[in-house]
Amino acid sequence: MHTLCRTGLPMGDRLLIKSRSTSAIVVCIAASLASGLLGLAYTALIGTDKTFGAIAGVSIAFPIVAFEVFVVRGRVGEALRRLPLWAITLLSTIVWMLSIAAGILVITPAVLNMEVYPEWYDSSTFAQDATFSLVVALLINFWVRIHSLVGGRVLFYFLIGRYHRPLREQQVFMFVDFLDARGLSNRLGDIRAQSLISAVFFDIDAIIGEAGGEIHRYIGDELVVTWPFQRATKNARCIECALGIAEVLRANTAHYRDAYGEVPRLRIALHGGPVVVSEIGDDRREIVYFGDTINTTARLRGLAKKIQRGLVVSAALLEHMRLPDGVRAEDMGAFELSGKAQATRVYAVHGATS
Amino acid sequence: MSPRNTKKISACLGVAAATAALGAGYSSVAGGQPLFGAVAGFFIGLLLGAFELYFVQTSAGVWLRRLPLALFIVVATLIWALLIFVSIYVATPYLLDIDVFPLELDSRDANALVFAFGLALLLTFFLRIQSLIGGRVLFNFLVGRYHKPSREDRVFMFLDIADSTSLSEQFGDRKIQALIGRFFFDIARPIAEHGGETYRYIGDEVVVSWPMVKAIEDARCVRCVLDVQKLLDRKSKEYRQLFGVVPRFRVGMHGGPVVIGEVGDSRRAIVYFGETVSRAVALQGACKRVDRDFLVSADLMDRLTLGEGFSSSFLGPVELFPDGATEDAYALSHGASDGGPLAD
Repeated sequence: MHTLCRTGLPMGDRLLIKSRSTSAIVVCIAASLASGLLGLAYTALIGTDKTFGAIAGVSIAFPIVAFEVFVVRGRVGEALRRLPLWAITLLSTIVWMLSIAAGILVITPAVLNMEVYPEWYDSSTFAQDATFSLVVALLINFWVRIHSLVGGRVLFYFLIGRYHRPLREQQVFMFVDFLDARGLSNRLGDIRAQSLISAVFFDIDAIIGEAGGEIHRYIGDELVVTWPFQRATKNARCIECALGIAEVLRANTAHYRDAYGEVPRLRIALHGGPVVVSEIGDDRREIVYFGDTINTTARLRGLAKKIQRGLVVSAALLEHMRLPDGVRAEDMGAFELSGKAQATRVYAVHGATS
Repeated sequence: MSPRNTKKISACLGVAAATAALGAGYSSVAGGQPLFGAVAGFFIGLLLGAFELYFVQTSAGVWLRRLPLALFIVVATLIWALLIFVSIYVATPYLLDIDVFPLELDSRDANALVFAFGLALLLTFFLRIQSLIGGRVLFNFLVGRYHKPSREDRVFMFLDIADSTSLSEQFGDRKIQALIGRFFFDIARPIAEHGGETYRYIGDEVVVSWPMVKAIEDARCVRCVLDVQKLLDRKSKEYRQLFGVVPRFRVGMHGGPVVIGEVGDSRRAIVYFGETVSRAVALQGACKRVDRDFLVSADLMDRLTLGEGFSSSFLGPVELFPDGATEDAYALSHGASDGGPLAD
């Protein structure tokens, strides 16, 4: 662990965690305020007490958002997130409904120093308020769950139609796959091999998110991560991400060995350049990347196996970054990767411990 | 009446029955007239079902589906709102012979409206977003079907645009990407009609899969490819006008056991895993080397009963992987310009 400090990784890690909890608090407050405004607007519209609406809005949203951000998304929630989606959805729906009832019937009257049922507040008004809150809550809950299935920014990009017409962008691609997936599946049987692959992908998910990467695809035993070029090269975040993945794997070695009798090994290829990004499909829609940059990254990953290096980076990407302290790049020579005449120079990158 | 039409009508009636029950339930709980709720619910379900199945999902709705997703959601939701309004305030009062105009909304009516529109909003949003996740994927996630990996027999089709790299050098990458987008939009219908589940798009490639039983019934997986070619032939003029070129495509197809499992945490997906998938990919890659457009593994061909109108030739072992692994394969003609007696 001490040697790792020189890479700056644990340091960065701490910073990320701190900034994450700060931003979680900001999210809580902002969402509560937005919900307060919504409550205000709703009560103004139906002509009941606006103060009541605003306070109910805040008191409904705060516990819900805190639950989502600190419990589900937090460290405690890891076990929760491993549950089937229906279980999480059910659990959070119960929490949400309780918050709604408590917000309207208990907290808001207490804050306003009212009786629980003032004269104007009969059961039909409660039914109406609760229905409204529930519809809004369900919509948002649904959005949150869908988000994980569609992928971080993709849902947003679809809604604003950003790639409705093909767009050219600079992107960095990271291909991660298992060194010996066929061997794993021969030794463990295909179902247990798939469980191991799922476990590894689950474990490295957080570090990818923290490095600002977007998981674009899972393809069999392969994972594709993308970044906008600037974001990936700033502070060499894509390299930090790859080394972080290696670190997570190392930290979990004993666990994988106990559970599966195997220590999985990954290889990672990083490359960046221009791609065309576009929406595609009709009743199945996706955002796809198209262009030479992706083919080159795929071939780079094949090369990693051939030259027996865990992490390879193209010169085209590496020259845009300053490597963190203690991380070194090994010149592997030039290879024909892009299918075009000119060769691509390739580096193997080593963290301080590897 | 075609079986597809029968299916659509029974779907509409099924939905209408469900919404009628929901309407009756709601109005009796909320202290209204259960009859009114049931009839209104029936009309709402019937109209919305018919709108979705006979307009949105058909060729008449192409313009709507081509809109940016947000606009699609807004327009479809507005139409839904209109249909709901008509059901509650026109169709139901007319049928039950009640006067509702001039409208006097009390808080109970307002509740009913919030209920109907809220539910509809949830549903239409759900329907639109579903396309981002894939037909059964959301459902399978919700019930946790693949939460533990399981084994299934499936057929995989990898279909890609031939020579897309050289095309994009010739015509420009954005133009070719637009062409690819158009092509995959157009062929989504024939694929869905043959029961294929579009699993994902990768660059200039689409991955479609079928449960084995469904795929080999009437050789639907192979028919699907022929229909894609037919569609392309029919639209060749349009493609030439828009993009200056008519795309050609290549297909690799193979079936067998795969392991299916959920992966991921903040980003989740259902993935297929196993030799069957890599063999289908490799067959598609082999198309170029053996200069054929459509390769099917002999394993899969043995399970298919092809009717007339197919021409296939046995190629023997085709090299799939650099390590020399091979697979017996057939080359099928997907009918491109080979002008049989029935060619139009």
